[in-house]
Amino acid sequence: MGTARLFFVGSLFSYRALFHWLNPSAYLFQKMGFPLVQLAFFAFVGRFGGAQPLDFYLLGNAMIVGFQAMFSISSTISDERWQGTLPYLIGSPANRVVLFFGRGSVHALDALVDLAAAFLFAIFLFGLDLSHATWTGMLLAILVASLSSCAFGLFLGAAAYLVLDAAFLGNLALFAIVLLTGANVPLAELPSWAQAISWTLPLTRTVAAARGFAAGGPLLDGLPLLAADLGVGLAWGLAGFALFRWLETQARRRGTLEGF
Amino acid sequence: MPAIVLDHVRRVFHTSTGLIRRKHKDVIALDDLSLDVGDGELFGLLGPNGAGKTTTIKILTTLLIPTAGRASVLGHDVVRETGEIRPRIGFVFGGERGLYYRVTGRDNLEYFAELYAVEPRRIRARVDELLALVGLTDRANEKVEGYSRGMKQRLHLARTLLHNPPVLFLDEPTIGLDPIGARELRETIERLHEEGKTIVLTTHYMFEADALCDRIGIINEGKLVALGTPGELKRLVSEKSVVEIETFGAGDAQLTRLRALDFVASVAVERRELRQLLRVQTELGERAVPRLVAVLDGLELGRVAVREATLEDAYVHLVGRLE
Amino acid sequence: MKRWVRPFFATARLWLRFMATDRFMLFCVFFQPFFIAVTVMYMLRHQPSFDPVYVVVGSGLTGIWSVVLFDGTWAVQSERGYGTLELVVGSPASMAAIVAGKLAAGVVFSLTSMAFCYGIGAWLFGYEIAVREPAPFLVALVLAIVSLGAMGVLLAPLAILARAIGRFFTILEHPVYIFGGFLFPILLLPGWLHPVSYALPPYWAAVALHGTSSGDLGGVELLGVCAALIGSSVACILLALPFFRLVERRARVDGSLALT
Repeated sequence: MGTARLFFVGSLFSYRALFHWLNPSAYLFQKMGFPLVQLAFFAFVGRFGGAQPLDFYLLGNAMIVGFQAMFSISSTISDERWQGTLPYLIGSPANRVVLFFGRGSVHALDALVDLAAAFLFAIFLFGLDLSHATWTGMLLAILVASLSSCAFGLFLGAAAYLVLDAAFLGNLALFAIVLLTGANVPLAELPSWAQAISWTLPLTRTVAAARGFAAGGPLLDGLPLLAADLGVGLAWGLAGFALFRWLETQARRRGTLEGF
Repeated sequence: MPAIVLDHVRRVFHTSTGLIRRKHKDVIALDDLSLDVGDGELFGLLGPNGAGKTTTIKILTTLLIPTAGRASVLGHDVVRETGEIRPRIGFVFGGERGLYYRVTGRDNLEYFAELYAVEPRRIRARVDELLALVGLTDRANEKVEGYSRGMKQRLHLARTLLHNPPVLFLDEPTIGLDPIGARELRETIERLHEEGKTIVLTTHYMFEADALCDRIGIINEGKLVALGTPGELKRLVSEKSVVEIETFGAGDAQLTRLRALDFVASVAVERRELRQLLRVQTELGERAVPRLVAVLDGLELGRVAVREATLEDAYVHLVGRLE
Repeated sequence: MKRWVRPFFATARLWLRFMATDRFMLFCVFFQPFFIAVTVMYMLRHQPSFDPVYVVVGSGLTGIWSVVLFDGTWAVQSERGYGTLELVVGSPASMAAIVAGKLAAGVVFSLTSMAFCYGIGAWLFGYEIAVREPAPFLVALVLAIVSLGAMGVLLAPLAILARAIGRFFTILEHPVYIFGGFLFPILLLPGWLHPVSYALPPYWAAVALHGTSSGDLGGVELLGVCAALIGSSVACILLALPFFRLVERRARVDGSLALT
């Protein structure tokens, strides 16, 4: 019970503490605004290019919009350092797994809001046609997109300690996702080395699965892709946790916890 | 004409809390404050945290507009004549912030020299001179992010003096410095005073105010509670002696009983780990000791001493507490 | 002179040094345009009349605009972060001159964006990229960066007065890419939205740069666009001045100069 409480209450508290500027109108503005402009930009460029149907770009960009939450999580851990609260977290008896993964839980809900907003815009403003979609699959794809974005964000948050700049790393990852997950450029057009990177990123398989579901493809065809993407996301999350623990040990050994 | 005038100045801050239903609150930081600082005077402003010292400094340095009343520096109104005041004052709020940490100490000074329109041909020499004055010549070409707190404080002071202003505002300039660094800084402040600069200094260190200041104003809860030379303020408590009693375990109950004694003017408590140092102001001097000890019966007592009242005791008498 | 010119140049010099070591700035100038250029190259290259210089110029503009947006909206807030805002406001220098100096450094630094995108197009994709009208292009480039810098100077006080702009500046990035016509013509937008573009200096900057790089804009039309850029620069500066006075006055009333 204590563990579950720490997971949810702790993550909600850290969400509020780090995003203290939030007020309802600002939150809505951010949630509605960002998905819309991101979607619109690539949709218009895609229409101008004419390489793929408009729905290709609408669906792809709607699926990756959860990376906003990834960005938020990646700055979460480094913000703890900036605010000077990290030594107190490390020095507490709190379960590390819960502490680490709990950070992502509220952001996962946040990502779902972003995804929902993006799809609403894509459908009602830009005419994305989902009339033949396998909706169970679409909803599952959205859920997986949210979870794997957040898990990737946890890795970025830990990695930010090595490169000392969460914003830099977060933006780098964000644009890699825009380019390499098949959201805007079919994977087959990319060089083989870039495709190899694509398959290591979360969201690549989810975008592919979502395209299948949007066209009315059967659930069973897409489920393995979603499961694999969930696995990829989990792997990134575990890598982040391992990196975080290693950094913590190093910091304690060298006496650099304040700077860690 | 006084260099600095505060005339019935009032400053209210409006705060609000809450996410959906917001609660508004007014905080009165200064309440009808009036005082003058003479030309060439070194004026100390004392008071507990939150008393209004920094608010007063910010009004005088044109960073804050009073809610009511008027203030002027060198005859110019702080609200309307900022263009006349800013080139003629220097101010230090000190602390870790207030410097561009990714460039060197020299770069910081050269930049501010430009902002203060120091004659371009003189900037280099002036910066070198000030770096020497504050003892940072050897570290001038290192990034500020690597400076210690004391070094940053000294760099702040150097920045303040770039344009040789006639009026200086120093807000707790020695706080956080080691004793040697603090003493050197005080010596620098005295030298500046001797040069004829008008200086307003806020500090928590009574001995510093006692040693440096021509006059002292004590503020509490936004009001001026005392104004005078250090000697005049000490005379407020000169008939009183101070009995210092070291105790182990004195709590609120004992303090209440002490304060209830008719010969006790005030009791201040300084907590030092497991011990408490009680400072009891009383007119009875040594004769009060047995009666005070009797009230503290049952507690383990350490050192007991009687001494004359100091400026700090006057402060405690006026403000009611030590911090 | 003392309040304006010297603080302007002193700040520009200081800020150039800052930017060269600021990872986020380096991201805005190099990485973000890189990803946008590569993604858009893939999206547009199948067009029959594809001209790679269009992508180079458009992607470079995104880098310049990102720097202007970040520099402008954070010009005052960054001083708060350093704890130097009170010192700067309390100095005799004009706050507007200081912010203009920062923006000048930003736009000059961000010119490397366009050069970098040129490199991407030429070396990564192997295109032959040539500017059709070099001399008018250079003139257009100078006017464009002055105009964008002036817009940044206007953004600085607005970011304080209208907190939403300051907090959510990332949301303003893509709308300007869209309405500015950086990477697709605004003809693709609904007609009733075109006046939004016409009111934006970045749109005229994009028209001038795309037009001179492709050779499609010349003579009287080019003069008209240049006049629009000069006019918008002057308008932005003139509008900014009273806003700066208002910001300072309000901060002195609220007591918010020291707040982070």
